[in-house]
Amino acid sequence: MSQRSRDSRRGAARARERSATRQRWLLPAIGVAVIAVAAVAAIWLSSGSSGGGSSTRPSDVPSVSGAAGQAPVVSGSPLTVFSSASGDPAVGQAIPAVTSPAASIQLNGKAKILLFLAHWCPHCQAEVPVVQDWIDGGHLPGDVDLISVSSSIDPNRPNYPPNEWLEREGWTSPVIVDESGAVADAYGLSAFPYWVFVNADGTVAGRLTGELPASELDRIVAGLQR
Amino acid sequence: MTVQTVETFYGILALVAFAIVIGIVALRLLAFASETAADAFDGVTAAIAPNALAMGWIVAFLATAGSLYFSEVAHFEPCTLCWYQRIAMYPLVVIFAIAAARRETAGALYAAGLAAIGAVIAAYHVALEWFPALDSGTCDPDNPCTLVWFRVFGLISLPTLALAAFLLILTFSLIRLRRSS
Repeated sequence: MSQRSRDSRRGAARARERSATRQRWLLPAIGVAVIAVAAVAAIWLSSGSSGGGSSTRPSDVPSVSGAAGQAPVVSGSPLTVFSSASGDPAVGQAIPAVTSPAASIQLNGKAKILLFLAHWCPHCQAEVPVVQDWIDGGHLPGDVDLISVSSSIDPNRPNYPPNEWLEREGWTSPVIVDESGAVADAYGLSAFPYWVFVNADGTVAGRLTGELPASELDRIVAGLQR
Repeated sequence: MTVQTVETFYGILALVAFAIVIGIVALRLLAFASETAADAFDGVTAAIAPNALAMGWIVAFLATAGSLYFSEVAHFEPCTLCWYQRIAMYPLVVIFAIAAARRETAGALYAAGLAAIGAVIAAYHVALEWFPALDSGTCDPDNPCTLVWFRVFGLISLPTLALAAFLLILTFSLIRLRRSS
């Protein structure tokens, strides 16, 4: 083998090595570049937009308690924690009374629908317009009160504050602001949305959780003792 | 640095990750029909394979760092499904680090196993966010998985970030396994 051909072969091998080294560093370099560009773009995108955020940050909004005043006062014996509608031991029990500046749950001779809502719960977010349409359609009888309880209020969770959400939905029912969760506890809430149906004599007619269609509300209201 | 900036940063990375995964899968499918696509697929996988373990480590590290940032700094409380995804993601940082340092392709196999499980859980979690009715139809007051903390560009939520990372890791791992066999 001649000196020249050996040299050229060695040269080719070195070139291959160089190109392999270059290739080895190419992808990680691209990766680092992508990450850097994403960082710059993120800073640029989020510095310009004030309302572009996906959820309202707690620091941007005033506290709910500031607007609502005093916490609701609960009296009477609490209901057991709800587990199932069939064989619910709370049925027939007297409901605890609740007084708050915004709305109250009192023994006033009217049947009641109590609806417990959490602002961050997608099932509640879906149910609120259904119930409002049902009310707007004239399905809520005059001798039945619908009282909502805004519970599990957490400024760190999405769709805060709840009063703005309900306002946006055109919610017409009175709202008890249950910041401490005392009302939810007294009524044995186990999941959202939570329903307590109350007869005119102030006893529990039934309790349910989850989204209810308008037809189901019609059926339950028809069965209330009024 | 605000939480929103970090959300946007990860949102962009997730979009890039989805683009890479979709691109490579599309190329693989086109390779059945076209010689050019087959050559391109070979070229891409040949370039990725030697770096796959290190690149997998970068993805797993960024995902783990983001996960810890969102729970510890932004105080987004992880739900049950989040924890399952964390269980699949966190070990990947160690597996890829050791495998990349020792140039052991076997690491890609272990990673692929974890990433596949993580991807399935993340996909279910993403579906649950869009269709909350998939679960019991109610929200657990304490820590529901249906709670969507944020959606960057109206699309990329926390489990969507996890899904993007798992799919990209799975793609890198499978390319490494394929090229070495």
